[in-house]
Amino acid sequence: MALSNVKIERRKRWDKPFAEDWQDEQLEQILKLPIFAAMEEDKFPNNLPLRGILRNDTRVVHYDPGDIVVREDDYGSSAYVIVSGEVSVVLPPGLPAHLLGRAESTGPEGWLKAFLRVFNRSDYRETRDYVQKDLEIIAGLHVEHGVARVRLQDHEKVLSDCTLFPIGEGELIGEVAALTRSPRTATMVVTKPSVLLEIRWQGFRDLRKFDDAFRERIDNIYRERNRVSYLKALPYFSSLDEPTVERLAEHALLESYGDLEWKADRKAGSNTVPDEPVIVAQNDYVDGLLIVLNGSARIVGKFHQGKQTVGFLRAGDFFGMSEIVAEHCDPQHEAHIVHDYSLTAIGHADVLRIPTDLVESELLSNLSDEEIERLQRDCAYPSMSMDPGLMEFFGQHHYTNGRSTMVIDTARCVRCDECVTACARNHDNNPRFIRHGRHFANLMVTTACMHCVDPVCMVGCPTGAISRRVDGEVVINDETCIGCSTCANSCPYDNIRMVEIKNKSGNLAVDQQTNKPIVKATKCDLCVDNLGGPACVRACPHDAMMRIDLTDAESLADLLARTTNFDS
Amino acid sequence: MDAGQKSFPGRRRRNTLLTLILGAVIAFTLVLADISFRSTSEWSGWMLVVGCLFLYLYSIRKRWSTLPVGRVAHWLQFHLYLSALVLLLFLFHLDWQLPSGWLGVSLAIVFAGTLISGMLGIYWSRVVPGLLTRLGDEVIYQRIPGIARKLNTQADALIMKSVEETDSVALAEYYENTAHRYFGAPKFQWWRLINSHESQHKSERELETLSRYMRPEEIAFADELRDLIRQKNLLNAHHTLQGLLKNWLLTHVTFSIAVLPLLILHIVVVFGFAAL
Repeated sequence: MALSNVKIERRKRWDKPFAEDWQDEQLEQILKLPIFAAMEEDKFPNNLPLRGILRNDTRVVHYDPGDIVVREDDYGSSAYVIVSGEVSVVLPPGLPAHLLGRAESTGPEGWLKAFLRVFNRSDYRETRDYVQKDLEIIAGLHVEHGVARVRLQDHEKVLSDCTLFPIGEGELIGEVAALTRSPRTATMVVTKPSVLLEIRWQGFRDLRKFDDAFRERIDNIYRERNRVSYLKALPYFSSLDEPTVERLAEHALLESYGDLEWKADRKAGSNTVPDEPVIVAQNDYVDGLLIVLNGSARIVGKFHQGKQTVGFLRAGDFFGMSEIVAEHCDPQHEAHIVHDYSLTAIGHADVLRIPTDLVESELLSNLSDEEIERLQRDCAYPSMSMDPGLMEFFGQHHYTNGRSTMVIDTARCVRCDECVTACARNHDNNPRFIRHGRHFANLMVTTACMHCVDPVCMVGCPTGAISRRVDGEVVINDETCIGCSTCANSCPYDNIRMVEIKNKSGNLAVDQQTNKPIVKATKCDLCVDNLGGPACVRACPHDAMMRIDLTDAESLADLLARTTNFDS
Repeated sequence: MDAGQKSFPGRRRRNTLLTLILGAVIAFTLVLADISFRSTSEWSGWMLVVGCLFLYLYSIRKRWSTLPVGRVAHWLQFHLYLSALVLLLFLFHLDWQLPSGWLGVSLAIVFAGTLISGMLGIYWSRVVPGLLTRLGDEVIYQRIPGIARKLNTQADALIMKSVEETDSVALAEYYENTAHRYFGAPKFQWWRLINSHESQHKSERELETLSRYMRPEEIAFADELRDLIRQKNLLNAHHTLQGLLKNWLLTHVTFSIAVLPLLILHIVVVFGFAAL
């Protein structure tokens, strides 16, 4: 039977615009806003015109007083322009967690409750107490123009107890989080009936890319609000005085590499370092110190005819410091210093580039000899080895994003499933992970939430149900999850599952209007409510299971020892 | 990572040394008591009962996953080394002789069954995971029957297609007469325990010989069949090795449960006769 090709139209970026109902006159009005009126349309390329960006990457959203626009600690995916009305920033200490739709961190349960839970288990999977009562448990949750949002109940009284900073028409809000995909630093609540233009991050980045004035404005805001405090928090920079840090911040360049919408490489079997966006190339002149702002990066060296992964960097790590310090310590050195290795973005990375001469004059000259020696040690590159397989494996599948990755030593695991059983006992009779996944030698990375450094699952949650706790655990508040699957679809590792919920009698909970099952997002929560920590690790009889931070050198060394012992 | 995980040989040395010291103390005490003409059977008997109760605790701990009562791995270490001490006490209690009477013999047999199945379990739980890992692909045990059925269907369809497209029945005859037995329900193959790949080698040899009599286009189908046989062999290996890991535990648990009523009966009988 002869096979013929089927011709289909290639999917394009704007096939699915952010809003479907843009009118021409509405677009013209938006273009008259001062922020866009100042933009020169001819600076935009033909394939990404300003009008196209506004039509496809923005939407007009109407808010009522008390509506929450952005929540503190949510991961930003949009910036907003206030077209009319007023939005107020809730200044510290901010609003309590339960008002933001989050589970309040109450700490682990007590001994008595834990003991009773041994005997008091439901006969069914995924049962919820609240299904018996009222499904409309999310106070203030409502959907308008297809956008789910939370409104503060009795907002006038709640906000009267808070310190507010009002922001008026024409102002841009939420831009830093949208630019760097970092947590929102404050909650913003609508205090007067408002109309906001929401710009999703794809469009926002393009506006910044093609309009110089807009970029300068955004970078200035970012520099003023974040860069100084960010640099001050870094090791070695913390000892510098305020004016010096400000000078460094002023000259630091913000650069982005890769695609924010990256997905982990699903193709198994590739044994070469993939072609990733190059941040700096090996043997390039060291024109600056690079500091990873967010995302992760790979240090790569030429090895025979290929490339070898030497190490991984993530937020807060330096690159190029080793070379700069070496030159600083050797005044006789006349030739231009060059990078010993290349640096590439794994998926996506934002970096700050501080000019080399400034690093030498403002940072290194202010450090003592002992500090410089320590800096040299801290920033030394790991040596290339003949056994880099494990590193390549972690890099290839983006596992370096994991802060608490579940790894099983299959040479010790007796496949007894005690870990799965323990997890199910602690989570509504349904395990929150699958004891299966990719493996390298005797190490298997299971299908379990890794509590990522860059938790892409948190971007876009309409109710803020998925959030990160102070210790870094990414958790879902079951009661405020509306089952939209945004987080499950965003997770590049497929570690979030949507489940249908039941009441204690085992009856499926269904929507009152559509009669469709109510679903909730579930994932590993590291047993944050348990007294003893993750039940899976505690339940493993043969010490085969570990939760590890894959960028931690000591953990990696232990893993390498395990593979070496197995191979030998 | 837990520090305890870093050095398994170190932990083994420490626990063995501790067990040897405790064993020596127990043996010395019992021998000393024996020399001084005291009855040691009662002492060793009660110590044995207490030891057994602690051994049973391991099974209960596994159900307490919500409570912070230590890692199961630590409990298993305690269970293993305590078993060694219990064996020593058992031998002292028997006075290093074979037991007599139906109850004594039954109890000794069941007790020995528990200990032997436990020791075999330790050995297999150290050896079999390595064998499983060396197989390459991982398979979840519960999914094996379903995958086997799927492979069977794929093999049937492949042979039908081969006959239709090549107009030759060489491969179909081989499948019907020989290769069909490679498929079907997963099989327990004891030779997997010695890491043998004989089954795979045999099918490779058969297909290689057969390829001399095939049409060139039929060889492509033979290659696909070879791959399906390889997958089924892998499945059989997982079925055997994972089945062994699950079934030894079942045997061990059955023996250990059988010990309990016999132990109680033994105590009742001993004290009943003592009263007489």
